[in-house]
Amino acid sequence: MITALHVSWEYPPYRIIGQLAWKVQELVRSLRDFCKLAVVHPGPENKKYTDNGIEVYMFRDTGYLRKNFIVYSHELVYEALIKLPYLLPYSGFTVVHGHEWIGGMIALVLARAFRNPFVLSIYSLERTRSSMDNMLSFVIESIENCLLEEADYILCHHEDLSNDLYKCFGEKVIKCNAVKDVQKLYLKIVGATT
Amino acid sequence: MKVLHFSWEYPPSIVGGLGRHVYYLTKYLARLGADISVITTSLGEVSEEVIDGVKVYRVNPFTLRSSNFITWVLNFNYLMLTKAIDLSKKEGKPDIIHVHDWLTAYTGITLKHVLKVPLIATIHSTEIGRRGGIWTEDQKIIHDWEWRVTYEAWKVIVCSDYMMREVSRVFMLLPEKIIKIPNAIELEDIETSSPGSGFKEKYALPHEKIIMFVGRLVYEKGLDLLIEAFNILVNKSKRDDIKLVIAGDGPMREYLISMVYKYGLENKVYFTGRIDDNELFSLMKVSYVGVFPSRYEPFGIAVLEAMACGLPVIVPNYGGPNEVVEHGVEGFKVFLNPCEIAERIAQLLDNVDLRNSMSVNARKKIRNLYTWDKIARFTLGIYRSVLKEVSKRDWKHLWEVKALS
Repeated sequence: MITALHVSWEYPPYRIIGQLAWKVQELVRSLRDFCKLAVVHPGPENKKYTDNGIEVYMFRDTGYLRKNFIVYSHELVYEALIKLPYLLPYSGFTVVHGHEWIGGMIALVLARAFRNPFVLSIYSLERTRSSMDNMLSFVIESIENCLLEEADYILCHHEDLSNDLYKCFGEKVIKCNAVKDVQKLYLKIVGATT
Repeated sequence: MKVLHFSWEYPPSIVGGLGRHVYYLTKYLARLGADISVITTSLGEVSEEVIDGVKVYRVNPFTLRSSNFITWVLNFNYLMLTKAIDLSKKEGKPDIIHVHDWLTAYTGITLKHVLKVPLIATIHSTEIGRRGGIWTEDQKIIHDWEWRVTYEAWKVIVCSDYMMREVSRVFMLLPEKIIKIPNAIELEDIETSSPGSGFKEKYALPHEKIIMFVGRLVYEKGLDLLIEAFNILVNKSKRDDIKLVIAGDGPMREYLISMVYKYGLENKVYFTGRIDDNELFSLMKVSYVGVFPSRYEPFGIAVLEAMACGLPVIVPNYGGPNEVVEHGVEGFKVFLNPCEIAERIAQLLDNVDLRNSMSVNARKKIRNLYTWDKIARFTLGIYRSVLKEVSKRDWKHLWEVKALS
């Protein structure tokens, strides 16, 4: 049985900031019949709930009032890691799957702690999202680069980025056009780990 | 017993007293048979080495870009965190995690929960103490991390009664959670350093008596007060037989140099910049008096080093040095008033017998009370008592329970 832990910065209905919330929800819902899933995301309270039969664990983040977004992102990692050992009742996953850089920061630590492969889903990169004319963008880009280096597999959900990522990171970059690409990757991981 | 220390500085990368403290503490803990590892930063590379029986792992703190000091600290903490988890998987998890100040609080606290290992924190100073309050967003962030680490730690170690009161007041900690363990110094290093012939002439003319200061050139060290006092001695008391040697560097250097020029003391004050330990201890041994007029000083290792070199000291009548120095026995405790500092300096310079007796007393006190071997034994005792307490508690951690199925 494949068991996947998905980590996202946003997930509906409790935390919607942009499109990512819906994209992650769509992906995990479409994986529901394929494997066992748990989703982790920040929100207004510590809570377990189900979303169409999927177990979702929400941890309360308190650092969002910070003016410095990088400080907030680290405090989010901190809040996740001090709360999840008492909220998420499992540690035996097949794969830990982080979405974008903030979710990826939490997912990388969890993957290392659980000794699971770390899959990073990329929907866009800082240099495509912003004009790269401020320090914040450079810091985010360096975090993205670090996560891309550390990821065991990179699922690229953006057509235009996949070739660039492939040039830099080679075989571990997988183009993701449909849910079957994720399923294929998970099966590959199970094959690789069993 | 496996203990994992986190420190943002460790030799050869030294910023202040914290790096030295962690270096000697871990070295002596290893000598006592504990399995000690340190995760720290490097000057730009990733490395693993064994130094004096201590396993030292360095992360490159420049891997991630940073927009300011706080993001830099949090970024390297994240790298330390992943490194520590990898290490615990490879070599087994530690029995104790020990962090030093807010600078590694993020890693220490998260690791405590992820690995289910008790945390001990040493608070060397507080942001409120350093800044005289919390005035900016950055100071608030630092203060928050300090509060979190003292809250999460099983025991909080501080170096003086002054810090016990401060930490208890600022973070609202129960007194039983705070333990005082003073700092210490490595006597071996001090005893082996010896000023060769002509050493003194590098810093002063033959007839000049050296008054010395060592420390970071920052506001809280009160060096501006010492320059004021020195101005009184040179320009008002018309003393030509003295030289002020200032060892260390920091952001206030330009301002302090401008003060020296303003008073016309440019031939009487020597800014050495950073100097190595051997040079520093030799300088202390040829000096007549050490002055440490800190506005905020939780302990003051430099005061101990000066005393171990047989240097009579002038320190403030509060803070950590106030607890180390006995007034009139090893030095003088003063109000931070340039006139009083100048008066005490003159008294020590002019009274040879007093200076000699203080020198003997100072050496004796340090040798009896402030050695790393004693401090390490005491710290090891704290680790053992914490482990005993932890074993009696019901600390539930869901990740030990089951796998998702």
